[in-house]
Amino acid sequence: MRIWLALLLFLICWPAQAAEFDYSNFKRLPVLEDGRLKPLDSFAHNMLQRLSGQSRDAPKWLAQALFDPAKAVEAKCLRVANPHIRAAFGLQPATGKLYSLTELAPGLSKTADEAETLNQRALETLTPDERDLLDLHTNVLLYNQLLQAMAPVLPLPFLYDGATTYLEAQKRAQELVDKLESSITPEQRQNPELMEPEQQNLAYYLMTLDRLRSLGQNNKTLRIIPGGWSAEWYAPWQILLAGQGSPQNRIYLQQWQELAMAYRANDASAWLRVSADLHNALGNNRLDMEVAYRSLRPYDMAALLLVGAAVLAGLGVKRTRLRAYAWGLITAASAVIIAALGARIYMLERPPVGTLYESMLFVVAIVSLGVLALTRKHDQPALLLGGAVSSVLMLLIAPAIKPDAESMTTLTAVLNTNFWLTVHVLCITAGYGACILTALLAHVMLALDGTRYDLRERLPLLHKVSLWALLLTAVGTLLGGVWADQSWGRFWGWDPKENGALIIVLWLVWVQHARLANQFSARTYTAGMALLGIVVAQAWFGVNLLSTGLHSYGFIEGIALGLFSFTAVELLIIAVLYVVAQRRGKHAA
Amino acid sequence: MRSSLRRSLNWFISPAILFWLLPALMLLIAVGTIAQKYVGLYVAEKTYFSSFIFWAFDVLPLPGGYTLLGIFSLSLLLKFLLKSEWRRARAGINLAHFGVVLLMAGGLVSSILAEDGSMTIAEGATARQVHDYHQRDLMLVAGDALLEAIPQWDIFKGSLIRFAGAPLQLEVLDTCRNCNITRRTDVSDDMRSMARGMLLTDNKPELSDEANISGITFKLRGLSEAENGTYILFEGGPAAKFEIGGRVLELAYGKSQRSLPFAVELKDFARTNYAGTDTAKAFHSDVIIHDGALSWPARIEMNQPLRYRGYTLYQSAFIDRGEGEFSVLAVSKDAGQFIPYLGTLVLTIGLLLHLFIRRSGMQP
Amino acid sequence: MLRNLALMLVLIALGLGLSRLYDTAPSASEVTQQEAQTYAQVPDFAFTDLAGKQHRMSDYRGKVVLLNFWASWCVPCRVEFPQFINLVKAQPDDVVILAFSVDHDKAAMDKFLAELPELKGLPNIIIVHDRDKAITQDIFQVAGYPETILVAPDMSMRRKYLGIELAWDGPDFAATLKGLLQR
Repeated sequence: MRIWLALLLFLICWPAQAAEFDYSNFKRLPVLEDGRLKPLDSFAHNMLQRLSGQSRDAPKWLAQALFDPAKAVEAKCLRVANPHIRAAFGLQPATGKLYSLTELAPGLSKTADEAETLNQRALETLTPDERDLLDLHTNVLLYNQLLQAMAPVLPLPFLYDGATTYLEAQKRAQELVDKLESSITPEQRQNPELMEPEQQNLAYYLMTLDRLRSLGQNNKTLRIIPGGWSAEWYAPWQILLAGQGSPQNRIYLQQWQELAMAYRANDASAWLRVSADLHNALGNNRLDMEVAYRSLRPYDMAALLLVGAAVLAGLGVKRTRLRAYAWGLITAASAVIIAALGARIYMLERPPVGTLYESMLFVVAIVSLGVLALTRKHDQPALLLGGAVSSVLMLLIAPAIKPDAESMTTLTAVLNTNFWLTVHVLCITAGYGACILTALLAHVMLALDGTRYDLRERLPLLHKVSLWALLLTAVGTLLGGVWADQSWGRFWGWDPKENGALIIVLWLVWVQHARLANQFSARTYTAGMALLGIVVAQAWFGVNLLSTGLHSYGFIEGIALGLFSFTAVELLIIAVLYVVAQRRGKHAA
Repeated sequence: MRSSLRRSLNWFISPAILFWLLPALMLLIAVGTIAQKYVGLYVAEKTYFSSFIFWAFDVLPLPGGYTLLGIFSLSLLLKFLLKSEWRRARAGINLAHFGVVLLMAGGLVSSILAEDGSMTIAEGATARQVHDYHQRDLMLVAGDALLEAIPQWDIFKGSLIRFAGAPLQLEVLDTCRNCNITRRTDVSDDMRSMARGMLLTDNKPELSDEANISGITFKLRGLSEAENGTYILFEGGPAAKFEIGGRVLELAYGKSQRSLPFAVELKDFARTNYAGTDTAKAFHSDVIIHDGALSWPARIEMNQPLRYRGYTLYQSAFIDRGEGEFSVLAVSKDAGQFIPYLGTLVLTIGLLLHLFIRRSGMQP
Repeated sequence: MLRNLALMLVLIALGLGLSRLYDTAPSASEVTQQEAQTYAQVPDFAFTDLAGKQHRMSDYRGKVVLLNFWASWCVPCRVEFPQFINLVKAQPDDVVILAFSVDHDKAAMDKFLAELPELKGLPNIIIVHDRDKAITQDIFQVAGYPETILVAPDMSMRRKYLGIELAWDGPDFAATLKGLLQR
């Protein structure tokens, strides 16, 4: 860690000028990260988010880091949130707690040894301060990788024989080494101070090249060049140092160099032309769509539409026309969600069932479609309102469930494309959606129970919706067994996720049969269905907290509190609704 | 008398019984699921699901999974046989109930007949031994041949073990499911080989039963004075060797072994990673199955098992040690494997019929 | 009741029968073929050998060509040359080796080549002095030595060998060669 710090400021190439460029092609260029080819836009957002806790103008920031490192060391993009570290580094208060590399450099060198030691220790044994310090050093290393990533094709910080880039300079490096070797005397070798100025110049130049190379040796972060000899993608340094060069990717590297030069020469038209050429050569529709997806933010759009629907439905309790508008808005929101899910399938080339976040989006789609189906006659204002509100809540919770929800990660082998897995997850997730719809309907019925509204008239509808929920959860659970049997030879293994799904099924069966055997009154039956929301939340998220077994792929910190609060609030709501309905019932009698 | 019997039977096969049965079952599942976090899947399953009773807080006996599911299945089976009328409106319900009966039957058959285990094969090697995940045996081995195996349930403190094929008598002094191997301080004259240096004591079991290192301490008789004495054996540890009647016999303790009726030769194991990462995207084993005079190649992949002669071989894991790659195949044999598939199908059809045929809504 | 019982038995019998059909039949077709890969064509560049004779890459269509990038100061590169000689002697009609030297000191290169008098009688080993790396780096982006690119008779570049990955006169490469020549 110490070596690079000492070298960093001295090895950064000459600064260039800043300009306003068109980044639309640049951000659609491919880069390999986390096992997936993604647009530079996503890459830049991930990186900047990690370094500075926000990602405004990420592509612009990335271009500066890559093409003009001398300016980038002054860019305030490294967040130091920990006040103890700020004090230890002697940092002045700054907006967003963001600092530049030059501002941090003295503090970083001071703590380099400490960070090295911390790095050797197990993460759990570190205090929060130590962890933050280690994180800061790791982030700086990552940033430094970006600053050095394009170094082979950027102007050298020190010139000797006319070669302006490392790429050019290395052609004659061996010759110059021989030249120096043959010209120095044994005494000069012992004591470099005795060298002639010309010899010193040469030695310094060769040392610069050598150090650039040693820094490049592990620089693998920016994988922007397709390998000539495999399906992998490589960072520019790897092309040179790991023997990945080929006649084809030489041209890409050259284009990247031209892009760097256009940036540094402040030549907006050359920038546009070269970035368009590179995009034509390497880009594809998936990457373009991902950039569009990111900028359109479909889920925020859908949430906005749903909020509008909720407001209209709220106002429209007594007005049919407003309810019709609300219905229209929910339709639009559902269309947006479904289109966005479709886009994810296209971009990730897999069904949208891999992560908790994705399954949550799927559930929102199911719930809003279900609400649309149940309220198509516009005669259920409360259900319309409830549907819009609960969909918005789920949409808002979803990104918080997993902070990197939008980074679209790849899946481990077991969860990777498999027919039965896909069918199972889609079915069980649709089942969760149907359960939430059932619970929603039950809430509404319970709230209106005892008023002019007749609970008994609505029971067949509730029963039908709950039967759908039963069908989807039961079959989904069993399909999970089919997948498990196909994949590792057992149909049922009492795994937490399996058990959770089974409990939902049993709850539905219990409430339905108790009504059938007249053990539950219509009101208790409805309350039982309303409790389904809690059962689903526990089975869906609760088992992730247990984090044992094959299924627990989405463990989330802090979800326990949310789950607990949800359960408590729901219990309270249902209890109040039930008691109030009971009283109203007595009054009516 | 008769009528009260009939009433009981009617109650037993009516939906009313579920009112009591299902909450108990849900509670049991919830407890068994949460318990997994603390005692591991294997112990939790044995305690709560594969048991007739379990003891709550060590004092209160409560019905375990076998009891609850047994009552549930019996009730449903009798209901299906005695009380299912075949009317159009009831067809879906009857089929769905029958699907559940089949699922329960599948569970019963599998729990009786199914055997599973795993085999670890090095690249280029051939194997036919399957190791059980849980059952441990005391094995008498001559060379590569397993002569006799004493299952773990016959091995307990104080039990006497004899072998048919060798004049060995063992008195079990101690056993441990998960042994703590420490240095022995009280070495006495009758302790032999490893027992001279090591002491096995019972340790808290691991969450994963496979990770437990089981072992026994026993007194051996029937050989020469120099060989009789106290021995220890544990999983993964060296065997105790004796020369009896001109041949070398070994005693070993470890996971129970079964032989496949065919041999599996691992030609090549390959894994592919996501580009630029160490995350496995997929892996597969190219094997050759040797069955008597017949030999044929096959590929076993993640989610693509090989089924042959009632056995199913799954790609389960791999081990990459310095000396080469090993493929770990999960092996299962289950004559009842098809039953849950049938149950799933019947249940699905039943529920669909019920949803679409019956339009009258809820009947009180 | 009897009807229910009968239905149950029939279904179970049916399932049992179907499950018997589920065994994998012993067949070689189970082993999936490797996907066909597409390979890039080698650029058709011109070069001059040590005797001053002009060549083009396309002159060697129909043969297996090894493009070897080397230098006399690189020890592993020197190890490869006797293997190349053996290889070309064994397959005089099929294999051509184009060896691009990046030596800046021509004398050092000549001295090394003089140690291998056999080269004179082997027209299929063509030495090119690529002093300014116009071919090595500007066309092939090769920056480490030795590196060797295998070109199939159809001018497609099959793979690149970094350093010494195998013996060029050994059985592994002979098998590769056989595969390329058969097609």
